[in-house]
Amino acid sequence: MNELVLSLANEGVSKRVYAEISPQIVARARSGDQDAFHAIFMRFGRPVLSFINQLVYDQSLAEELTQETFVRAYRNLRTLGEDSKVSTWLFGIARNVVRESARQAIRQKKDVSLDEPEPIELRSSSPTPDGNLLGRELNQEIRRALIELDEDKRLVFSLKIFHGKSYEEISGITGHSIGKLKTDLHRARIELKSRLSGYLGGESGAKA
Amino acid sequence: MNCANCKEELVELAYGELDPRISQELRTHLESCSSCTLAWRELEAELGLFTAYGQNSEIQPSAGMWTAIQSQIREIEPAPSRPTFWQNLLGSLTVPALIRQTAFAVLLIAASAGLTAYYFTSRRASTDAPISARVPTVDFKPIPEKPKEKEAPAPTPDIDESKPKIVKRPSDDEILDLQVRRAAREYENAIKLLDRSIAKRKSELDPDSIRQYEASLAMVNESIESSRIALREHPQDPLTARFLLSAYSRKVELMQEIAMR
Repeated sequence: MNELVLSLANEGVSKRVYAEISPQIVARARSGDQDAFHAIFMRFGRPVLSFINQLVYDQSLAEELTQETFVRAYRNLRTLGEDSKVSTWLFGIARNVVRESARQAIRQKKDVSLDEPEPIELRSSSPTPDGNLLGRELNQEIRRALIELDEDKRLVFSLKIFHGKSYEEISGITGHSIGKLKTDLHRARIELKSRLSGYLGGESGAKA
Repeated sequence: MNCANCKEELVELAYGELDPRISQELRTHLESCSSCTLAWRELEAELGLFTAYGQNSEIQPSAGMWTAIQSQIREIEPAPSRPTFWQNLLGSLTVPALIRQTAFAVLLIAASAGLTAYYFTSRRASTDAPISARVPTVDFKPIPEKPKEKEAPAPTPDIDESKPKIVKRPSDDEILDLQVRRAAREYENAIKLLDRSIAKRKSELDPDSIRQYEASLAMVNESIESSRIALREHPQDPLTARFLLSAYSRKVELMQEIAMR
């Protein structure tokens, strides 16, 4: 397991937090130790890939951009401050790689954009924490609702809800102020609740 | 704490973003307010749904991704940080035998040739003119006519025809020349070995290091060449000999440095 799932028992909300990698491994990677960099990849490869996929919704593109992210990270290891979190730094690089890819796609007039991904079926059917499967239909509805969010809202929603980042970390990754992030997250939740009202109403028995 | 404030802060409470004092106030309010408790339950359901979706939609990197990354980062190997003293010391023990042997041999040659050149430099300073029976004291200022005087009336030693011929002892200049040639030959052999070793490793080295190495090598080669020319013009000058050997030594050091990367 490369992450800790913190369960806030008295509030009942599960939050995914990725345990940071040890400073010794980071120091070794900075001095050119490829095994140490491999350890960083093993720890953060999955969350970074998932994050990128949540932005582009194209798995093969997400894999390509994840590779680019780690190559760029290796090239710029010396820019990683000793007190910086590796995950925040990597997510920041990933975000820049995605943006550049989107700009390049627009320049090349490809039929790919962050807001119009290919309709790829979700593969995973792992049970939810309470033991019930999220149905395929619900998964697709959530995916569609997320795709319809604009880039900034989707970004903060992904980082906050899917990756458990604090506002401070998200601000470091995106360059946006905490005020803007809170506003975007609030608006994202309103839009999603509006689109998924039937499902949310069904889950809790209360108005969404 | 009122209900409006409470409902605004529930998401922050869920994600631990609130100050502990405010968190406690909220929890206290939730214990006694059914409306806010209902809002909290709705939030739990909403965040639970999205968290489950996030976990379901996670994807694992493919098996070949690290291999692909590794092949790219090999080409952009970051410059290693300066090794510590102990790393240098321990590193020398792991250097390939060839390079260690080369280094040791060159060290011996350099020491020998360097001492010889130094000896002759010091001796030359103290005994400038050749010894002549006509000159009672050593004159440091060379007098051009003196060698002629030495040659003509200088008494030759008696030679006993029955005894075997005494081999003439090489002059100081000849000794120096011999030492320098031997040292230069040994340096050149070491350089050939290192050159072969570097050629094998060149594809593994980063382009910047190769460029720097080639630039430094060009300067050292120029230094060797100009020392050789100077030595041809002044073959008896031990200082020039020392310059040449120093330049060779620098070239070997440079090559060892790149070969050991």
